[in-house]
Amino acid sequence: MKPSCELFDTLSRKALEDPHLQEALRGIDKRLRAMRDEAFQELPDAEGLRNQARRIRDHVLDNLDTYLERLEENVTRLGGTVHWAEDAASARKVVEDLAVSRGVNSVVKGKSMVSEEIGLNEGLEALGIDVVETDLGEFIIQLAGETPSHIVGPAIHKTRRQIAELFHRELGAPLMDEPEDMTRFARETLRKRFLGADMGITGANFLVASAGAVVLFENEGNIRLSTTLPPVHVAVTGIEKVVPTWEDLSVLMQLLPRSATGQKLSTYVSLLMGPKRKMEPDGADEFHLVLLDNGRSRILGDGEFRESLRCIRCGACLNTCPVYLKVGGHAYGWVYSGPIGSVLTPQLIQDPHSASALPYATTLCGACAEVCPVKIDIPRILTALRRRYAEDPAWGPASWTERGIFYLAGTILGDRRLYETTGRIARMFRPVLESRLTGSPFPPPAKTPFRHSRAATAQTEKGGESE
Amino acid sequence: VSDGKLIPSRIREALCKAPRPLMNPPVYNGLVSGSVLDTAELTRTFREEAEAQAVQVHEASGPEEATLILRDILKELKGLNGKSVFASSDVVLEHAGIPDVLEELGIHNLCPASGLPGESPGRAALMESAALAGAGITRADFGLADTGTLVLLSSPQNSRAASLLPPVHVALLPANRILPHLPALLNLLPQGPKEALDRASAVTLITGTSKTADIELTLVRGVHGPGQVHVILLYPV
Repeated sequence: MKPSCELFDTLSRKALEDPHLQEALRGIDKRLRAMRDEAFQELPDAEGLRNQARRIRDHVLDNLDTYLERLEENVTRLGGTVHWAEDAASARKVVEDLAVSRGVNSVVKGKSMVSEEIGLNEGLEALGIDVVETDLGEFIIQLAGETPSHIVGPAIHKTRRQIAELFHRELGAPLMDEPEDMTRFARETLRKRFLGADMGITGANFLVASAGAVVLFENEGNIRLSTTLPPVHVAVTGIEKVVPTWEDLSVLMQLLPRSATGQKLSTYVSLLMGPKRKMEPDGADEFHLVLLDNGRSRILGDGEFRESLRCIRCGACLNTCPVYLKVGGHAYGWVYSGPIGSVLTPQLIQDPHSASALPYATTLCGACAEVCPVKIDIPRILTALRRRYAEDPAWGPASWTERGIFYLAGTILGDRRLYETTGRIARMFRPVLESRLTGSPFPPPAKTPFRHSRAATAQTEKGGESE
Repeated sequence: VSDGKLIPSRIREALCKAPRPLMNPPVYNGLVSGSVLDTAELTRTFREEAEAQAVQVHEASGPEEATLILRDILKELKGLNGKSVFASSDVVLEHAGIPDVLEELGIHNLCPASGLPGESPGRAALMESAALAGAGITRADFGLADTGTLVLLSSPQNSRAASLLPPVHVALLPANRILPHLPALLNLLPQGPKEALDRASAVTLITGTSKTADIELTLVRGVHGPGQVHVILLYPV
């Protein structure tokens, strides 16, 4: 997916004027948030579980090389193949080569943010391969030629009317009113595709190093179909998704669905260990795991930002963010939106300068950090990113005007005498400033400046104490 | 393109740049409240939780009652699809007399009785038949009480598609195989690939019906998988 993060301003203004989108976002605000909170309330020790999840994720990141090699060894022993992909282009090439060498004509896909990140569909389609998204939300936005606006609910921005018209226009369906009828129609349309598919492509929610397992969560069943019916299953995911053992998985498994959709457990959780055994009737004959770096090892090497990689893509921070809940996912200009998008996008995209508005797309209210199941300190990272943009030329050209103003402000505020002199000069220009800035008179300043009265109070208190 | 060891070595390099705590796996300090519960308590919890997820739970005090329940479920199936099912040739099902009930009702089992085809060409045909069936009938290897979850292991006798392609899924769950919760199950899973190779390639956890809320956050059941799930809890005689 081509980033358009530099358009944050324009895109968010457009979003604010879209009544359908505003209605959909109100729905998230009212429903998803409450469901998440409810699901957490019934946990005996939610806080302890979150702390444990954070420890597990940090431990994995601190020892990522070891766990990835363990994972590779175990996937290989089970008869699967691990492919390492340095960047988006090499990940695409791995999948394209697999598809071409196996004569694949038709691919069914489960929802995967990483495949959006690397532009997988476009690459396969350019080779004349038919790629169909099978998650209902993804299917809808693929038909509309759009991109996901939410990690968990990709088509959350569309109304039922828009979807009915889309099915009518693109698939010749009768105009339907009920989500139930539209869903049934999509089921029948996609069923044929599943039965004729040569390859299934999914992401992965977790990878269990000790067992060589891929773990996938879903509610619809499309991921199970994509991994059960076609002869080849390819899972494409980021290197950070690994966890050491089943025990660690059991901690994260209690948090992911609760954070994402307010469910105790998603309808289907698939624990897949290699290709199907010889005598098993179904499941993929071939299993391939594509592990994507694409900037993640760089983040890992940056002590200030490493914790960004703890993220398990639940979307809880989106559902609670006052900015996301007004501007929606598309304003962020790339695959990952909301608070975690503002954290990940500047670190992952080719041209970080284009995303320099994202660390400011926040009120720094901290609601995201409060709901994060792995306790990522998102507000801290956002302010650290701002500093990085301001100070590090690698992140883009510095604005000399801005630097000058802040340097000047810093000097004046840091020196009392200079501050008072500047204040006196500024007061002389008051009439000019008034007419220039507001056109009406400023309220008169206090006779005694606050800092004087404060200093006097402090003096008295101190004196009183010593007596 | 598989540049083999390049990425792990790059990761090692990156980790050396930032402080790296010693390798010391985090300790799991039992964050689950589950005390040991008896079968009756586990069954009751399982039932409540499964029903909260729109699963229809039936209890059978033996194979005979199980077949009666199955008969009732199958009679409800409408139209031509009611004439055929996809039932695993599994011992649990055979022991409960399922094949006999099907024969008696004149219901055709689309699943080949002996030896499912293990190779791809046979499989494509098998999937086509599973998709045509009015119901899929399987065993469940475990139940998880605190989430009302069915756990299905793939095996030569147990097709993964049987619980997925037909619009209705009926699972036979021996009541003594209900575990308290997820961590208890994960303890039973193969810990390494060596052990896993002799066992299932897929462990599927099923909690409720297939569902979506992708259109205006409206809940719709039965999107890609079964919209109706029945569990027959089988008590040992």
